[in-house]
Amino acid sequence: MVQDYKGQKPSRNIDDNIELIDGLFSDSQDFIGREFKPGGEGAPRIYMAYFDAMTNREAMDLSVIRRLFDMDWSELPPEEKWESIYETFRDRGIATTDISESDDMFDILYFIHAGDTPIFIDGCDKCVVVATRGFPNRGVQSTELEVVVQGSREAFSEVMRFNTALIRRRIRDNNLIVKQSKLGIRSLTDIALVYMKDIARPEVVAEVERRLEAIEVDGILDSGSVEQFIEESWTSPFPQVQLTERPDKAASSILEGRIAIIIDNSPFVIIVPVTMNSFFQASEDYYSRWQVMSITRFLRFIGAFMAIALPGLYMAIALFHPSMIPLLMVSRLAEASQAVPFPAVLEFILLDAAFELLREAGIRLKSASGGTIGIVGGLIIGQAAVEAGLVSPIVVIIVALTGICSFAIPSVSLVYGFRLVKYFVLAFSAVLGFFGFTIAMLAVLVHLAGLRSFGFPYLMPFAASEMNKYEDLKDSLFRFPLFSLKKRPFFANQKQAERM
Amino acid sequence: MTSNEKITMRQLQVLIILSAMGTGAIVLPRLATEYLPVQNVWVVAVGLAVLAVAVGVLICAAARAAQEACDGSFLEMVSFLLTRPVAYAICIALWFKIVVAAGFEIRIFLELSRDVMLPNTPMWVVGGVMILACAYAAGKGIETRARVAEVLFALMAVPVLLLFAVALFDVDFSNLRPLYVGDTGAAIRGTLRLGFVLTGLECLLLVTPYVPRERSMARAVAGALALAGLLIVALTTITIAALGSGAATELWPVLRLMDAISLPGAFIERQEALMFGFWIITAFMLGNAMLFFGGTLLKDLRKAPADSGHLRSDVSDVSDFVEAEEISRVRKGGGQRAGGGLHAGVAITAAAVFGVTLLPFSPDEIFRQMNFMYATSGVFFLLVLPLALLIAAKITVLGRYKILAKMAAFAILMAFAGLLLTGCWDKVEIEERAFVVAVGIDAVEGEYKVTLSVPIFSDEEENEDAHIKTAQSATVADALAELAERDERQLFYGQTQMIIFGNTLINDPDLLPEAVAELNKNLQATQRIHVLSAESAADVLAKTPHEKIIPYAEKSIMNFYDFEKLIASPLL
Repeated sequence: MVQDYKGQKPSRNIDDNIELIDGLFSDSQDFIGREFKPGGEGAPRIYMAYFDAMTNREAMDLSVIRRLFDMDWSELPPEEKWESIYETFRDRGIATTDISESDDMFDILYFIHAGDTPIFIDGCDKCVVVATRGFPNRGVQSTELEVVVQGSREAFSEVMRFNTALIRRRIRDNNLIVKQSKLGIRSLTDIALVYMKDIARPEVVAEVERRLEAIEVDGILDSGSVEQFIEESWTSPFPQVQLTERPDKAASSILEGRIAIIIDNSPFVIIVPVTMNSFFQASEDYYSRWQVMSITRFLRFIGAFMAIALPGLYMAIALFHPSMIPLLMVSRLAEASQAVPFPAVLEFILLDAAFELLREAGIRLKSASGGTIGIVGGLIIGQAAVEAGLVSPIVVIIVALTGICSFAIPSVSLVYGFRLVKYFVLAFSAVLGFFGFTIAMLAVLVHLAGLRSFGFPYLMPFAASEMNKYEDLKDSLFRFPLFSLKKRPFFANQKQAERM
Repeated sequence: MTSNEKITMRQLQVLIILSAMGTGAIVLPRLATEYLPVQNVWVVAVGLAVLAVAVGVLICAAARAAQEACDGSFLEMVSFLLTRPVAYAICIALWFKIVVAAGFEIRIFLELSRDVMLPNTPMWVVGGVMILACAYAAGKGIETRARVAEVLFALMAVPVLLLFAVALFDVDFSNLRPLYVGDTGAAIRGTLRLGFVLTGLECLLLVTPYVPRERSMARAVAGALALAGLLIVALTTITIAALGSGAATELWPVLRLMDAISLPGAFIERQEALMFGFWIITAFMLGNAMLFFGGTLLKDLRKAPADSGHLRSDVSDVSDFVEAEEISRVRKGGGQRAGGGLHAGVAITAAAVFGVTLLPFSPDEIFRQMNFMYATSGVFFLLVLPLALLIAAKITVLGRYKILAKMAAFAILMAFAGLLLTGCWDKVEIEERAFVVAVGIDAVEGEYKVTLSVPIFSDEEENEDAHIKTAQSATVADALAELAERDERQLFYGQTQMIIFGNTLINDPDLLPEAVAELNKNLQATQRIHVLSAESAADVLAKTPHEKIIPYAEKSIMNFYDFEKLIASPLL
């Protein structure tokens, strides 16, 4: 493993280095180790190692190899002064801007894996690493999950460096810190912590770093895995970090004092800390006018409540307290349920399962067939089931409404939480009626009130607002006009509380 | 020893308001009539408010003084000021008082739920679920409870104010006259004896370690208690105004209040369910307050070691962010802020409270017991002390057998879940209910002829008369039983829109009262039902197809409650 070579220096004798590196990669045919002597008297032997298709061949050929072959090696000092050879070589032999040195085999092996090219010189125990990364990638494409009507359509890419660039473009401040490290023993995945040095709270940054360092795993493949390692309560169905694929959302969060964690190979960037309110804020909210966006924001909360409560509430009323609704409606419900062979709860569960299956199927099948599945499944199968008398149309409506309400929430990870909680509430309502419904909702509330994300209370703007003098409420249920949002939310360092 | 959790003054106020509106507020009008005539019961409510504020301020002063002397948990403060053994005694006695008070409060709530919400569900199931929910909330610590209280207060404030506003227009304030007769002695006695209505004031002593020292606690507490008192006064006044003398006879007059208020354009007809939602929430807040303080007392008594839990102080809702070291202390625990000591204490308290709720008392007896308890707490202490010491010893032992305790808890939970699988007691599929839309009673040869109009909701062509059921019997109960036998569905009177008395019945002074009493039993008295008379109820109902009854019933005529104002008007 690459880890085993930590601290080992390259040998002065280039043959040892060649033997070592060639030996490590002997079984992989995409590894290329090139040894050559640039010609002329006194030129040292040179060895380069890289992976095919990870490097930018042109840059290497033109800037490095050609230059080496063209150099006049007769000017070099004698072999004993290998430091001078090395310095000459490094300063004048390589015509690219981004080079670095390394004397640790671990770093060198890492650079090879990353797509850079280390160049060994006979007689030196250091080597020059040329940045030649040029691997295939998807580039910057448009967002797929967090689509907005008005606003930027750029999405994060799998390449970490692109992502940092996307953020840098939006925050042109030298206080924007990009701190890099590696995660995963075998994957050595690059991760970057991006935050504003003077706005983010130092304790939170320290805590994030501490948690990341504590991760011991062989490979990190996506930011979702990292999310699960650094969150506080693994038993809770609710997310305690936020994932986004939008650079503008990441940039605005950073300006609020939050921290973005970019993970290589993942187009989703983690943003911490988070409160429940953050999941209801979409980028679009700030780009359109405040009146419409306030209503939209409020509707999202209503939708969230209905997504949890609607099935339970229906069950409680229909099965336990039909005296609560007007007789006309009761007669409709009774008529509809007359023909159905299943009890109401079972009916609901069957329909809900069908709905979830349809949703999954729609995800797997992209574009052309994906759309048809929705129409086929929803309309035709649902209609047929109702006409065959298997389900009642009321329950179909309830299931569909619940599903639609859950789609209204901008953040997908929060929706997963709600989908689970909805069953909990339904179970209690089905057994104990309105009392069970209220108790279940109270239990959910208690759970949410007890959650924290990196120390910040989850229900922050709705409870414990006093901490930030109620300023956070201006951007929760309703969105106040931008000129009144003068203070940063509680995430920010209190010395930078004003948005100036 | 103390947890590092702190709550803000605002949160303390909200917690007090929500906990103080215990179920006692519902029964106050009825109980106060033992001391004063019903129109003047509001005086007792005012007296209670004043008393509560006075007691609250006194407790705050004492608590602050104690905190100045020795900053620590309640036990530490008391053992510093009085001696250690006395402190122990006081704590244990307080624990018992909390357990009994919580038990009785929840028991009243259970009686309420049986009357209004879930008549067939066993009380221990409803009580068990409520106590489990309270225990879950209590185990999370006071900060979580405070945040929950904030959210609930925000959610409930608007509907409650709206309800009061609407009620002000709908009720008849002349019911409050004469305003005050002048029997001050009775008023004072009533106030003192009914002090338990504002429940949980003793917990103010226990909350002191969690409140920031710099601010003035007395002012905040006084304000909160004054507001709670004001709410109770308003509630009582409106109840009397709405129900008149009825307030004296009902056990839960405040629920009848919903019947008297007609929310304009309201879609929900039986608002008592909504009202009941409020009581569930207040009972929950009270329950989890009691369980939390009971659990804290036990934890302090047991001297929980300074390990997990305490050191985890993150953003407390008062101060600024604390060191990162402290945050990371409990990683895998997932939100266990107050530590294992509190959980054990809460569990034991919850079990005790559950036991108390199952004591076989009737509601009236419960009130007498509560009175007794509050009046004679002193005697209680002496009887219980040895037992309490034994329990305290057992608690320490329990710590070593944590795994056994967990297994036992798991087994109990499985058994509980298994019992739940036996079925839902009150759940009736909607198509299995026979909705009785109209009831008609005639007197025929000294017997009752009961006619029910039960619509059949199906597409098939049915016999025209299929929706009419008639039975004749010596008592109304027998007739109804016979009718229930005939239909495989369960007769449901929750949607009954009208009652028609035949003239033969009205003119018969012997038969009429029994008919009314029987109907009273079956119908929820909060319904709006039109009471009409006709020559022959059976004929009228037989001639009226149910499609006509339903839309007709949508128009509101009068309130069933004012039974004396029976209007004679033929239906057709």
